[in-house]
Amino acid sequence: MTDDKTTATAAGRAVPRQREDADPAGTSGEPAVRVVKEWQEIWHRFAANKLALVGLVLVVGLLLTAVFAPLIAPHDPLRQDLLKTLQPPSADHLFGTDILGRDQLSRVIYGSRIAVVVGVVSIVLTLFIGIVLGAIAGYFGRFYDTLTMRFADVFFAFPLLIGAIIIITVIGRGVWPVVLSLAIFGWATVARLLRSSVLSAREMDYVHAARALGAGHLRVILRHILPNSIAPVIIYGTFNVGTAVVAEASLSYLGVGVSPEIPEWGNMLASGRGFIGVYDYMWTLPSLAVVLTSLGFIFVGDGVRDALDPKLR
Amino acid sequence: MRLTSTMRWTAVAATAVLAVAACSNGGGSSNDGGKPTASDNAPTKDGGTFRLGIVEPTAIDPYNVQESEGTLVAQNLFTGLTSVDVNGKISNALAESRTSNDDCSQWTFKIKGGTTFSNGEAVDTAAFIRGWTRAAAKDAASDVAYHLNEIDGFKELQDGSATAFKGLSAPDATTLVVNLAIKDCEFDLRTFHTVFSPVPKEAGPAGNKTYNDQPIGNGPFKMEGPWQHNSKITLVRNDKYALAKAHLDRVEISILNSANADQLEYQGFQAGQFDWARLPTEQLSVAKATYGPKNEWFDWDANGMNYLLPITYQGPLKSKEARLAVSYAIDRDAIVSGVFKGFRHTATSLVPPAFKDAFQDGVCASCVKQDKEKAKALAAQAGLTPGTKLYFGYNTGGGHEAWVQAVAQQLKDVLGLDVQIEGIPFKELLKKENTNSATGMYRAAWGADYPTPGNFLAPLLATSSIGEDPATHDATGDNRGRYSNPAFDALLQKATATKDIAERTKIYQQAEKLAIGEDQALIPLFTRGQQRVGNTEKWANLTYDFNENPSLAKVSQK
Repeated sequence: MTDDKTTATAAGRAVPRQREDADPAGTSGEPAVRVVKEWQEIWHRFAANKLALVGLVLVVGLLLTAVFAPLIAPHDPLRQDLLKTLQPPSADHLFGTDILGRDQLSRVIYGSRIAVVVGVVSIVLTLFIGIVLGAIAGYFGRFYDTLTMRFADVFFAFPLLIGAIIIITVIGRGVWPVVLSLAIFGWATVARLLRSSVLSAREMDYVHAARALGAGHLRVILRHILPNSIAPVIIYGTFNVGTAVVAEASLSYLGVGVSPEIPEWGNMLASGRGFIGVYDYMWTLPSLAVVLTSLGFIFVGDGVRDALDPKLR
Repeated sequence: MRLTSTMRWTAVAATAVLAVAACSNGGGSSNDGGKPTASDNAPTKDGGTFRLGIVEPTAIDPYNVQESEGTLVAQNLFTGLTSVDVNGKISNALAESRTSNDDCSQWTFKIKGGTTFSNGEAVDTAAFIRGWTRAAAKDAASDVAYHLNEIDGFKELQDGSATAFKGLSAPDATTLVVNLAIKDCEFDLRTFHTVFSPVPKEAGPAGNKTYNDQPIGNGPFKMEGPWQHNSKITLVRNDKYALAKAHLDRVEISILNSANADQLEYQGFQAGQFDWARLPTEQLSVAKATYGPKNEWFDWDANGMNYLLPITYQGPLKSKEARLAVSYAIDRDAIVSGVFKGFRHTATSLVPPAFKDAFQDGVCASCVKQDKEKAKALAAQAGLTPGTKLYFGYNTGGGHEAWVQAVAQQLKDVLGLDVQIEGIPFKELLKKENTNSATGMYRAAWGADYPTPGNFLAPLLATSSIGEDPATHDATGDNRGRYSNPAFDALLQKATATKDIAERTKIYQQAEKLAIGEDQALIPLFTRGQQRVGNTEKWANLTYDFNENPSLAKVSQK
């Protein structure tokens, strides 16, 4: 998700920056054709993993649901009808209605929006913080390394949910506090991952060469080190979108996530909890949505790993 | 005084002002659940062990008993001057008579002679004075000592400048004379509270750990071993009890995890492990269908009221028209049937139906039925225009999410208000209500400690209950909306100074009509419906008592 900065080459193909830089420098001498082939190869390796394809379908389905929620949802997710509360599934309400007579299905559909926003944005933010700090730690080493990694240890040692609850209690409830707290307690892993791969990358000959040619630190990091050490971080990020969705649902379930009237899976699970064994349709659909989303991203993450770093299989 | 954080009566023990008492049943609908009556005159058979679950109480030593669970234990360990039956009617317990002088500044209680504590020590006036003084002492730091505040000398005990209760005297072993600094013609009602219990010499000061965990009392039961914190409390029959002796041999009280106690209680009941249980709100409908026909279902309107607390001194609800508009805009009946499934009822007054004599059905005219037109007209008059921001705070963890959203939606639909609901922990909510920057409205509930309407009206609405700190302008009392009306205050004063009960009740009714009916200082919503399941197959005379607890002193084996 961070390598989406693409640039057009002479061949008019969109290729990732990591390859583009190689051309003007003329060090690798790879023609554009070779690049296209590499992307095809990556896709082949991804597609070879059947589960990854299933995951991709789930993820794309989730994204489409989120984007087109108003078109798909049969009812207004906020519309209360106190004359029709706790209705079992029927033709009009396929998954029944909740305690305020709102359509369960529509609420689950709209809930995908929060899931996508929180899942994606929090991971982007997590990766950003993690990459910046991890790269600094790995590249500059010594004092910076010690400082960043001890700092990371602190966040690493803190349980995510408890930390998030504390942050949210201080700054208030809502989507952004949730995103922020997930990022604050997620970056440490990313920073560690990146640091270790930067550590090995910075000793490579091409890095020494770039330095010898007078490249500055920023240029070396951005053009030579990051492109060659970022794969594990991207894999981690893909895997963890699902985890972020689960964490966000957990926070709402615990009553510290988004406000209860907002259609959101954790909120729905919270209000369905008491009905376990009584009105099971109250919690089954939102649970299913959380599980499928989480699984989808895990499968895709698996595929991305196969594709980007076959050695890790 | 007690504020309740949950719609259920679970003791969240969240606040110091969560004491107990209730006057139950009354005009309450016992629904069609078929409440087993206390009058199933089965031949009483002694013996048996009654089992139930509670959550960890704050205290069982009467000096600091506050929530319903502590009261369950303390009421069975101690018997004071008076008792209150399930209908809120007061009667003598150890007192043989209770009389006041003409201006209600002095009360005289004649005490039944010759009774003893379970250790054999005499229960005389000295024992009462000892108990009351112990609770009011500064070192006790009791959360419920304020119930004794009317007695002369209370202040000196609280600030530590005295060690004896100036207002209490004992001309002889069976006469207790109480001098009041604050005149009160219904002082005797207060003595029902467990903080007015007698204690033996062995009790020592309030900090006596041994006694705190294993109080020696004069009630129908006594402790079997000390309180095992977070585990259990066991009571056994006190065979030396002065009044009608209990039939049960033992009562085993399991202490459950407070996070899901009602669920655990109900599961325990279903598994035959408990004889009495509360239930999670969500399971009520199904449980009623199961246990109703078996005559094991208890459903009643208890002493308590759920209402909205509008901030009346600033913000959008400053004018009474605005408050009336909000009240008229709410469709209580729809919420009662849709969200509560009939297990709570539309409130039409602040003083609950449980106060049979004082209850004024429909005194809150705006509560009776939703009236959209009237609501809109009043809102226009008050400048409560569509789009106006209205803050609506509630506490999380009390099961309020659903109905709070329903109310917010109705206000949006009818008045076009931009209702901003916020869920925060109970303690924070209480703090926020009292800051001088509060506006809008808050979810609130109240239950009285003594069976008098005054215990609703005075703490919640009297000017003297605002307690504004002159430095910070934050309030410290329970009149959190800071309603202030001299005419209302005058009526309350007149009521407490009136000896005749019927006359007093009438004055209270006038006061309620003024504050609720006309000024809409609070916005009543729902009654305090209570539901329990109880094993009536095994036990006779099993019913709920005044404190919403099972009537342990009367239960017997079938």
